[in-house]
Amino acid sequence: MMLALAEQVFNGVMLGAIYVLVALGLMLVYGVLRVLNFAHGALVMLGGYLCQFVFSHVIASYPLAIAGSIVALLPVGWVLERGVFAPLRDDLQNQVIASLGLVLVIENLVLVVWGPAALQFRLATTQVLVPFGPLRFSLQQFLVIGAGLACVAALFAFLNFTKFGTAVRATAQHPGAALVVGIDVGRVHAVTFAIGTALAAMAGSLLGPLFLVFPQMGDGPLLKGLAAIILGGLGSVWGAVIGGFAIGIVEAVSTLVIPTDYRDAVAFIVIAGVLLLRPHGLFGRTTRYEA
Amino acid sequence: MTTLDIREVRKSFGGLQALAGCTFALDRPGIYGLIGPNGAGKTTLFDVITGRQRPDHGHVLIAGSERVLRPHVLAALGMARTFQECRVFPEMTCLENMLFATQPKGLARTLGQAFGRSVAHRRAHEAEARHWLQLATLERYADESASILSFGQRRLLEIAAALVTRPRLLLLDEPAAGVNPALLAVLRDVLVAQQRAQPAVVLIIEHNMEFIMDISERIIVMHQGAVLEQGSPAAIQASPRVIEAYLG
Amino acid sequence: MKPRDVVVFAVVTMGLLLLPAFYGRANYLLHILVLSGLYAIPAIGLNLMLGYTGLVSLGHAALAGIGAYAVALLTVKAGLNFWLALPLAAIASAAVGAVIGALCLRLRSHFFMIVTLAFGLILHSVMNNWDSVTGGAAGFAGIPRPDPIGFAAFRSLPEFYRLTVVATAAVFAVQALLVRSQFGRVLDAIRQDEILTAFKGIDTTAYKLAAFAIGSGIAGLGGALEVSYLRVAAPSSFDMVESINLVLIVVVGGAGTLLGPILGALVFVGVPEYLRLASEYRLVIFGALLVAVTLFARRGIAGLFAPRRAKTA
Repeated sequence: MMLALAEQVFNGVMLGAIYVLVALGLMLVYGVLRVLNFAHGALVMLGGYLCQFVFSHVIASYPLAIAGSIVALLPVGWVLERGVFAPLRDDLQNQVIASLGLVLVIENLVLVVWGPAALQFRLATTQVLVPFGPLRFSLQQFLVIGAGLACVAALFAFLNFTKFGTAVRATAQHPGAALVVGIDVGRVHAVTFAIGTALAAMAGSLLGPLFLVFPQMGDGPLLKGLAAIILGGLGSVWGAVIGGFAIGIVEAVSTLVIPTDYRDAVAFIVIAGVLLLRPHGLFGRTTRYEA
Repeated sequence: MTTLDIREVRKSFGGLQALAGCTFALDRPGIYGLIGPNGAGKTTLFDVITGRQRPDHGHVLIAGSERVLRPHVLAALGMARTFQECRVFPEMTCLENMLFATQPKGLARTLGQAFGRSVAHRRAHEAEARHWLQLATLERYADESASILSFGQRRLLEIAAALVTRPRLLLLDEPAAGVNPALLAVLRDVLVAQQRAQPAVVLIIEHNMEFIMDISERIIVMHQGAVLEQGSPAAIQASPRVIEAYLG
Repeated sequence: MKPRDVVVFAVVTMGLLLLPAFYGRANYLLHILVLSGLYAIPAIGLNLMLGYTGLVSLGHAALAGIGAYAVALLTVKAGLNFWLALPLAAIASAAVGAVIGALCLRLRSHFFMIVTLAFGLILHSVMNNWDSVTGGAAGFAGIPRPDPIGFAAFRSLPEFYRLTVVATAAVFAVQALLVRSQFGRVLDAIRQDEILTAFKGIDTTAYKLAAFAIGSGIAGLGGALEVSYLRVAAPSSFDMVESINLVLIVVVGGAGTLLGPILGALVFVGVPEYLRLASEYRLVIFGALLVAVTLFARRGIAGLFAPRRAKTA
């Protein structure tokens, strides 16, 4: 039992690392652009497809395939931000509705291009097993956790130790004041959305080899990412990180006690419960996002 | 029953004491000006009266009712208000804006009416609504969408729409801000006409001294979260304490 | 209600009822119109919430599902007459909607949307997994077509088609009466400025709750009719995708317009069938349409016919 628990905790940490990446993208875009982007999961999925495509048709190197996926996804994010979200700025309701439309467009374009069948994404790292105490996990699982933590560290450094990162944080806290002190808010929005898009591509590229690549592969991570940022209080990098790992671990461990059919419902119950009982998240204070 | 009775109200935000034992009562109908330097606690006091903030200590009684009340209950007690940022229904016509608050409000009643014969409530109030629109020089916009009005005109519509409910307590939050002199004169006429037709307690927060001294019969000066001085405009303008508070 | 509108409404309804007399063999056409009606009914419910009150619910299909499974259980397991089960199903949806509404309505904008989405997913998860009651992922089969009333039967396609026309027309009429009454004006006021509405003396929470419950009840009615037509209740009919489809139908058809949900449903079901589009192309096009409507044409297809909002006199 203890071994099973330890195994599920490790699996949860790995899932959590992916949810953290998704949550960070959602949280950044929400915090800075005030857009709740339901199409973020579709971007994750597209990232997975692009990575698989580059890996199997262009160059059989996983790191380069990830880079290729990020580079290829950035223009997609740029089009979404400039073409849809920027014109709808401050119109919360229509941004959400438009992002739902984008989900339909992206998911079904992928269906048209790649077909409905799930694609295999076989990597050597999923075959290599690494002993970890009495348990053995695939190298890919370690890779996911490592890459997730590296992204968190990079993002944290960017936001706190670069000038542009300071501008991003300032815009999130006070858009009006940011404008007054001469921050190019349009540019901050574009860069923030690009970072969010890159994180989505990263998440999709890490997720693909673990399971399969298919058109709905982004739906779960989107909902778990949403649950994570709500749990974390919607305002901070650390909230999203803790929330993401918490959702991943709870989800994995819950399979030991409740039927796996209900595994996904755990995240939704977390969303509903937290929002209803503690609307500012478990660690949240009142932020300006509360109307 | 005193219309508005504020007793020893205190309210702090973190370490900042916005209201420090504010006390005054308004009963006799009339126009009262609430002034004070920035940070004196005027806006917090308005928030406490309108139920947006809960006082840490003390009592606010509106028409004898205690507790922090929800907006629709305050309205039922006879309170009407306007907003600093000016709020009207943008997609309604001016006349619809005027008539909205005169229509039935209870859920059971309006739902029942939807499937029954509707009673001609509208007619009864339309003449009065048009009268106020005329005083506010907005009668030719009666059937136009409120969104086409200028800011000053919207402000007048907001106040006229509050008057048509015949409130016993009317709170105006910086009514003169952003209103040009010509419309300010109209605003003054509207408020004076209102006092003659349906006397009410009107409490106005205002920074435009010329306007507030001209229109008010009594001024309440707040300073550091409490009432510093009350009196006629002339007495207030001559008060050394008030002058000191503004200069200090 | 203007007499002219009532006449147009009556003529159109009569015309649709007579359609099988002329196209009695055109089963395919009738089938498409039935499906459109079965989408239009829950969409009208959502329109009251999203279009008129400004409450974007992302779990509406799940509330239709409550009505669907209620009618399935009441007719098959409890052996109730369909016409008794139908109103009970609508009431069940309204009640669940009221409970969810009471929990969600304290939250604002984004948070409200997320919680409605979460509740939709939770309800769907229960439908999908509670095998002993709902039949699980395979669905709940053997749901009967409505029992005959006197000599009016509802077994064949033309018969069920007429029932769908009557039901859609009735729900449309309810929507029109609600929206054009003072109740509807209050909902519209809440959408425009909730704080101002409250200070005008309106208990906005009560009205939003009423809109949520009525919208959910209408959805339950639609869900109950749908499974009676299909003879099976499958959880996939009430999942997140279907909830988004309902938002799409309302917004593309014209949120906050009387005809919007019906036009949206006809276009959503009918046009792809007419063009014989594969479903993925159809969703690409409708997704793009949804984005385009939010960007360029807020009142949807209905807005193209009457670009300016009619004066609510």
